[in-house]
Amino acid sequence: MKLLEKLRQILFLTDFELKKLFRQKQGYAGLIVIILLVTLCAVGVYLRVYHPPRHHHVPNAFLGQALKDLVNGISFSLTVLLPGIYILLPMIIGIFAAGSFAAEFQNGQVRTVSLRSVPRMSIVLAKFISLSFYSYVLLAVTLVISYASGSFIFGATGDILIFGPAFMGKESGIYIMDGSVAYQRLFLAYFFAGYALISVVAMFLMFSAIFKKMTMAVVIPMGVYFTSYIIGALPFMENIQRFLPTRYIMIWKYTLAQDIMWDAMLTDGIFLGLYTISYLIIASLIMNTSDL
Amino acid sequence: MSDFAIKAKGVKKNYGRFTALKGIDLNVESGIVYGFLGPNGAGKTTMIKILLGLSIPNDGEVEIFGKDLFLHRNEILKSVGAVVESPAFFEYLSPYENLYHLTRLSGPVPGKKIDETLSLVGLDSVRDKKVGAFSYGMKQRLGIANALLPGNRLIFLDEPTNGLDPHGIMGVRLLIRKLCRDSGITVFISSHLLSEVEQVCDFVTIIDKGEKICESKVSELVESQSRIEFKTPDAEKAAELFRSEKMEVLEEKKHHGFSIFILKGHENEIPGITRKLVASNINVMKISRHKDTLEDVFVEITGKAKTDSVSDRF
Repeated sequence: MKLLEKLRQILFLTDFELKKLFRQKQGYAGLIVIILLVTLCAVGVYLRVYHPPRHHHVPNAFLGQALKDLVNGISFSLTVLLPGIYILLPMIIGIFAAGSFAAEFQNGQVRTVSLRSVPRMSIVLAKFISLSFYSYVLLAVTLVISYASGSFIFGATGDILIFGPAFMGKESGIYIMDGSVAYQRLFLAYFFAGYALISVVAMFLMFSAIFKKMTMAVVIPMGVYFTSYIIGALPFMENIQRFLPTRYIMIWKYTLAQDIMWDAMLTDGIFLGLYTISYLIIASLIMNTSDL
Repeated sequence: MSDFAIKAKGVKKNYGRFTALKGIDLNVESGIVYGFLGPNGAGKTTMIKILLGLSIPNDGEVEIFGKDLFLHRNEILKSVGAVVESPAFFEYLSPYENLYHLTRLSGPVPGKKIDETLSLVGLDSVRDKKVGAFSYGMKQRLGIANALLPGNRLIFLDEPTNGLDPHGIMGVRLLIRKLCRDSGITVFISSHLLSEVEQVCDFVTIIDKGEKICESKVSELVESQSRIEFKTPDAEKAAELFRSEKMEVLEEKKHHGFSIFILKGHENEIPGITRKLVASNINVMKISRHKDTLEDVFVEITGKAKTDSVSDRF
């Protein structure tokens, strides 16, 4: 009975959080940024495919022809995901998470909600669930807009060119993915990108619970995130890279290998999940012991 | 069922080296309006936060409706509401939406009841406007509505008339009395205004610097602090009369050529004193009950003089 009551409260809180997210005008800022990202990517890819640099020699001319034949809505959508998941979407989601928690701490709304008969942990959990849902909404919007615009400019279907170095690292090559599996891979890539984003949500919620001030709750995790990326890219930092929170965020890239790398995905997925759970436990503990 | 809505024993709270509460005891009976007075920084809000489980004390016990607050907080909060510090709502939602989403966390509440409560605090005409467009006073009233829902038996109001216009202040005071009288709700009010407590509360506790310095029925406190203010141009004759009648003069001051005496006494004594003054041929410009402020009572209770510097007094 008590469990049912708690679930009901989490459901109500999540519903409330979603209403707050979608009723704020700034909630649509993410959409505007995604449209900007897709537009810039579309212009960039279009120019690369149809107006390649003239000084390029034969192999690149061949690549240019391959691009013309193998770029379509699916590959364009994957191309958009790359810069999106590296910087843009974590940044948007992070700011929204801090706005939803740290700003509410700062303005007193967390106290207003805490005056109700709800465990404080439920408040953290509801924010996590709603922001995770919002992450998937943003990704779905990115997928729809990028696929629609890519299909309009380059065609909707067909085999796609996977530019391995961009997705899988320098040691990977370029290969052609059969059109019959391309859709499946596209959806899998976006799904696991969402799984990575919810870890970012949890990290920002944890820092919000720690600092309880909007500025700190944005600046510190952003610093952690980008520092991790930079350290992760430095070759002489191998020994620390496996502990960096950003190490596992690119889990979605394994879906673009010639054969999906399920083993690597499972390992990274478990680590990413453990990071997410740890962030949430810390956030809940701090929330439970804080004076509001 | 306990007859006490709140029982607190030895509540202590430290913020680092600063001690905000030094072992406060409270016994608040059910169905009364209880005033919690003290100057700014006395520890009123800290105590309210502890009584609501928003803040964790370093020591002490708190029972609400006979249940240990720290063991049964969520159960207790189903029938407890509060406005603490400033009312904080979600500005991009309407008052109805705010109340709907907040209230259902405590239990089911029909929409009609939310509308009735909005009407009770005079916000029915702005039911669907965004809270962001509200004045501070309107938010304060929304805070009271939120504290009342879904059908709370105990409400905490932290400086409830702050930011309200005179009409609003009167309305809130009447509402508090009505809630207590008609619905048996226990109301715990913090305030720094003695006049407010006098008008609204049945019982009062005064705290300062984290310590309880007085606990009394309001009527008894006011009685004990009764003063009569008398204004006359005949200061010497009046002083002589007060000496011969053994009336205690607490204060004498000059104002635009007149002398103002503050005498210890109840307002019932005013007709008798007036007769004596007239019989002694002393001109009476004004004689009335002297309205004490919290500061007056505070100074009286703590034994600090008005001539002390501000920092010494508070």
